[in-house]
Amino acid sequence: MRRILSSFICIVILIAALSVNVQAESDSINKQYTSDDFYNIAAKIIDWKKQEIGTNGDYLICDKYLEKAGTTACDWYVIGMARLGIKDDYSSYLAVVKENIKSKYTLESKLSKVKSTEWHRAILTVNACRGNAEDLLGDGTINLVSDGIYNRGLTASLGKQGINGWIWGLIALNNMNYDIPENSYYTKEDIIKEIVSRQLSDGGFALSGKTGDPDITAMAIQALAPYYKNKNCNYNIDSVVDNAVMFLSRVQLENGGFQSFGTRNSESIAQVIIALCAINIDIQNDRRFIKNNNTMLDAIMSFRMNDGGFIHSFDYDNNNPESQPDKSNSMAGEQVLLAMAALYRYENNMNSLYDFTDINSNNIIDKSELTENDILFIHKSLDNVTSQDYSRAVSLLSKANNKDYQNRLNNIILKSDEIKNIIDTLNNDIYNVIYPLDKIGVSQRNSIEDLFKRYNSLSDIDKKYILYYDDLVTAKIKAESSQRSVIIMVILIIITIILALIVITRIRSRKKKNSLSDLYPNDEE
Amino acid sequence: MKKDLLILGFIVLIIVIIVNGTEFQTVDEYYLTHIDDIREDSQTVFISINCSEIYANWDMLDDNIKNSGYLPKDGVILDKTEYVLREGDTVFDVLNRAVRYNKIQMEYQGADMNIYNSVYIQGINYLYEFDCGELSGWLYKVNGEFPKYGCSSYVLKDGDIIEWIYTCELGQEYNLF
Amino acid sequence: MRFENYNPITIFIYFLIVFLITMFTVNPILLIISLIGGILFFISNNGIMRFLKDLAFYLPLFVLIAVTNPLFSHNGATPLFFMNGNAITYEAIIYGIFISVMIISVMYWCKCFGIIFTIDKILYLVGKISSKLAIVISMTVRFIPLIKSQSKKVSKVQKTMGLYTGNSYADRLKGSIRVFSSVLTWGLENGINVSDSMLSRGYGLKNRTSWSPFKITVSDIVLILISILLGITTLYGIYSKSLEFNFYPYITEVPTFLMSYISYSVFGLLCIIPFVIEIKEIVKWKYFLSKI
Repeated sequence: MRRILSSFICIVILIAALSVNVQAESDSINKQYTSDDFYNIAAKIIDWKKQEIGTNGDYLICDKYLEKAGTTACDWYVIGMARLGIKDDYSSYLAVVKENIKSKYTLESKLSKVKSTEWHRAILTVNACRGNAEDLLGDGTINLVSDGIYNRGLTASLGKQGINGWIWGLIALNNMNYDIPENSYYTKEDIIKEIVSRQLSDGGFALSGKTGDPDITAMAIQALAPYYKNKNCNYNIDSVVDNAVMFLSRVQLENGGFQSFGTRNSESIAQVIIALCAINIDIQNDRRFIKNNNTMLDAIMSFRMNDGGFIHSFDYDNNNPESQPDKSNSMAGEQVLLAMAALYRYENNMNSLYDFTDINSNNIIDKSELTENDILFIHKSLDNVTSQDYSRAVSLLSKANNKDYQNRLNNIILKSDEIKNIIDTLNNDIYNVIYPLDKIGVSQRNSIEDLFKRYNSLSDIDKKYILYYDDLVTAKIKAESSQRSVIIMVILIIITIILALIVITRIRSRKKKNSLSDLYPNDEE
Repeated sequence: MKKDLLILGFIVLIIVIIVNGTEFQTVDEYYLTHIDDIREDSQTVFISINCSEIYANWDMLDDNIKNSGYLPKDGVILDKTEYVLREGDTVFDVLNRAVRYNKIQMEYQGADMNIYNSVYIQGINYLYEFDCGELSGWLYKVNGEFPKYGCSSYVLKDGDIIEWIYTCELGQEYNLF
Repeated sequence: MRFENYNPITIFIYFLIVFLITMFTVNPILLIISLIGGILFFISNNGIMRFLKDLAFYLPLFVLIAVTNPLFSHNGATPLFFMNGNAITYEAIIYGIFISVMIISVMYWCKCFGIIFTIDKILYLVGKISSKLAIVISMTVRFIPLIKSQSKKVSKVQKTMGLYTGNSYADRLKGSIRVFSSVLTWGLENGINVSDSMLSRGYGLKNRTSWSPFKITVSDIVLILISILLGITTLYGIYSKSLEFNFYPYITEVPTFLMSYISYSVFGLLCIIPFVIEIKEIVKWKYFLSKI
């Protein structure tokens, strides 16, 4: 009897357990995203970005966008679009980036004094635009891969900025599967070792401290991915990656998301998605990354705004209304864009996001036909050239095949470069002349006047680049009023002297009268 | 006699004016040139810039910096100074004004150049991020706490105390984003 | 009857009321009325030429006082310009101008008072209150010219004796100290002599009567009543706030209640009384002159 009862209870428990399981199974088939969905989400992000910078053309890369070419804020969008196969004007972007790097290479610090990641991002950008990072200008002068990765140690440690430098160095190195020549400062093993040695006891990676951070851990996986379960190499990093994946699975939140430094945010999820796609984990179905029936996609989509953009986090601080949890954010958008590109490529069995070896020129739009606007621009009088025309001229130069046009564009570039120099020296001179502001006096008047003349000779557009114009105005007024004060003082002193003279002569003449009357007194008594 | 006294009265008045100074300014000029004057009713904030932490981590410091001669002996680049708070001023605005007025070198990345949408301070007084180990850089505190925002997103209020410090242990203990 | 021929009490009461009102109001209309009244009275006493000549002194003085206020007072809501970082305000300038108006008008009234209210009138007035005080005042006033002439005499005598004739400051100082000490002892002696002789003549005794040229007539009483009536009406206007006026921080509007108009016209009447009386006398004189 007892046995029957116990076996009955066992069966009941088993059935209950099974039914729960079945329930879970049916729940997990909530929404399966397809590669088209990913592409559409990404396209919406691009639309949002276009709207943000204020262009309504077909392409994101426009004149306005090109002004900031080569910065973090722009590069990642270009990389993401390139990996999604979205058509855009990559050749213009490349032309401007090239020029920027060329001019930065004239400085002693080149791209950056300490941050090797500046080179790594540049390598990815140049490659995404089908440039050659190993020989940027085609004349053998600039080799970003050498300067930024394997020979970076000659100027500063690759990891001077921390683990970031090692990770991104390796990602950039894997990007085109670059070979490191003999006698280089670092070998690939060196870099991998540096990364591996920084794994924490919990399996994660972090900038500092003893606990892993999902962002850095994800980036480490992205860097090591090409060597994971790869029989062609023997770096033995499989366990490192496995531990890191376990760490990520462990710290995933109940809603499927991640938090970094105590803040739930969209960027951490995006980085983890990119990492998992790189090592072929199906994030929509892998049980390790479904928490409480929530996938990472569920979590990341909760950060999406109606305008197609994404936000960083939901935290709102009353003390600081500047941080907005209800306004799409460029950084979140760019990282989600990269995650969507990674997912899209994963679903279509393409190379991983940062493996550019399959890159081709299919999505580069053919803009060799110059528009009417472009031709007007080329024929613009040199007197009207401003510093802002630089990037557009550079991008047009990459397309113009007419000798006359090339000459004109070169002149515009020269002129605009010259204006940039004028602006820089003027900024410098202003800084040197007018500070400290409270010491401004009559003696600076002429030099301030001269600075003003130089400022006024700039075009309205260029004037915006003068940093401390307000202070210059203040300084001018100060100098003028101190001069005026000196003039007034002189006038007043002269008046005083005249008045004093009048009084003295009056007193003198009266005294004379008195002494005369003393001499000839007419007795009153 | 009476007229002499009158003239003497004028002379005394003019001398008083000359002694006090003869700077005449129109209202607009005055407000432009005295915008940073601290008055009884003006809102102010305090700012200080300090890099004394490098002396505790001297071994990690870049040799170039050690020999640059720019490092202040006590680590105080700018002592606690009071500045007028203008409408809508952020931490960056006040810092920028303070370093300009004191001719302290500073390099930063503009808000439109990076993904945080906020100005990022790379170096002050020739001391740059990562110069003292891979976790070193410039951080700011407002009223003793490390805010989670970039310095050009933090809008200040009256009486806030800003401290810019160079840290060699950037990271979780400062609860950065 | 000219204004100065009224009884001293009448004149004193009249001036007291005008002074009081002028000095304790900031209402610009009242101040201007007072200034005009003072100037008219001054002209009727001294003639227009004297007034124009005096303008050379009063106009610069007016400017001096008016300019001084904004230099030291930075109150007021409308800065016109800044001087050494201090605001020179519209309000302070206007306030300075009206302070100036007040001082100048008081000065004019004072001048008139000084001309009309001779020392015999003062003694009459004071003697009514206390005979001792009257003699003290009379002696003091008399002493000033006496000492002046005495010191001149002494110094002349000294000079003729060949004492302290050098040009050095020390010499002159010594000489004047000697003169001073001798004049002082002479003055004390003289004072005791005078008071003793007055006492011996029975001055100030209880039952003695004294004669005075000043009589209180019907017209005196009428004038006193009119002044008091007009003065009290104006003071009531000030008291009832219908003449309220502020310069800081904003200049308020000139009050235009019924009571304020009444006050302006009443005070105007008050201020113009002496002028009217004088003019009436002049006209009368001319009239009589032509008849003869």
